[in-house]
Amino acid sequence: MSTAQTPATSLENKRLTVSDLITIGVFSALYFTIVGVCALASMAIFGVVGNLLLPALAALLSGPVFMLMVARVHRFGAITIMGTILALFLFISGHFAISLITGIVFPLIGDAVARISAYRNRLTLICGYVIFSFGCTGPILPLWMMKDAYIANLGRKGKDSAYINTLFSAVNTTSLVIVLIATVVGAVLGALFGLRLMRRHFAKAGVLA
Amino acid sequence: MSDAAANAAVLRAQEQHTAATVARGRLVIDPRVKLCALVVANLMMFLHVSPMVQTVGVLIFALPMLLGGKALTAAHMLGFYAILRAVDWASVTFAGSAPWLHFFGASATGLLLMLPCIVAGMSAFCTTRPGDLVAALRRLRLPNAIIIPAIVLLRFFPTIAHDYRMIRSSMKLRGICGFWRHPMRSLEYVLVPLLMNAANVARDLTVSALTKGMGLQGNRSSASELRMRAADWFALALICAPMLLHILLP
Repeated sequence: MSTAQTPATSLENKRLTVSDLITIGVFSALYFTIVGVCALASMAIFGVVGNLLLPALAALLSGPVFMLMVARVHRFGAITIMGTILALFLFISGHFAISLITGIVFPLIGDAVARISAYRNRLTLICGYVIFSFGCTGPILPLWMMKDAYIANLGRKGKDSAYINTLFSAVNTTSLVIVLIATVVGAVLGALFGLRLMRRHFAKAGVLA
Repeated sequence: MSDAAANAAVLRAQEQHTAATVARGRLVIDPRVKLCALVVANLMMFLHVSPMVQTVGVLIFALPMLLGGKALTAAHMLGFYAILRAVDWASVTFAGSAPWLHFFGASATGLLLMLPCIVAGMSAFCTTRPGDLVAALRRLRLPNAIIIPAIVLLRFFPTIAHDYRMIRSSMKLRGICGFWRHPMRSLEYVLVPLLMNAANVARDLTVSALTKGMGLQGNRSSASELRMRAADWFALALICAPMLLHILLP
């Protein structure tokens, strides 16, 4: 990544400089902290099931971090890298590898959506943030996979499979839909909150450039 | 003269070679080996291995913590694993008479599935120094776009807690606590200073990083020498043992 001073060509607009990468790192640290705090809070309040609300809660609180980072680094790749770093650290701290896949794919799509308007239009920013927030649903996908494993375990011991299925069927589809809706609602509210903070504080303080 | 100096240098290097594996009485394992442990743990979870193989895997993954000075954490993890196993066994055996045990059994199975991964992850996290982790990522040839934010994250992460405490104490000084009565406002009062500070930190870090030549092409030297020593190869073989067990046993 060269930092030579070139005139503002279209090529320079697409390259992420070292300064951009450091900014991305700093805000990714904040995002990682918020996700960690939300994980601890949701586990403390609801137990293991509280993990289902983790993406919604994290999306609600991380709006300002996302919006400020996008305002400072308005180039393609910033959102993707933020999601990828989180996914990488989630993987290293021991979550299932599928969180690596969701953590890269969803931020990439969100980045592409926000890029449509060159990171300026509020609507594309909100949509991009909603899609990006699905990136941290990775850690809770094993919950649905766990259901199959427990049923297999019970079946191995010879329990009645029909009884088991009725027990678990409600857990499966309803909770998935609830999680999806909660994440979308949390992300929209978080994005609006972030945009409001940007307007009220950061535009005046000149931190946006 | 130069021969004697060269011999002395070789002897020193050999001493360091043996000393680095056991530094200050703790076992230091190459971070790449711990990453392999994570991959194996994921495979184990993916393939739904039998409980015996799982137990073997958890014990092996906890070894870096036990030998690396974090024995208390390892003891907690292993104790937690034992409790989950007991709950799982109890719920399957007695669930015919007490259906409410199914809930605990399901939670226990879910946690048990994730536990090899979590133990491997905690091993990697607790016992690796940040410099070693970054050096390992560089050796894996990840692009600069991933490595530089990772470095910044590792260095900046501990300061966030400190900043948060300072913000809370200055809020108390001004008498504007009360998180549950005005949640949005409290959030604003905490987040805005954190973000302003983050922007300033980013600017300062950029200046110092560019001064040190970050982002230029070419090979980078590192303060932590990563080499695969005998202990690392042995650990790698040990980590693959659960997979072999899973394949060999029916």
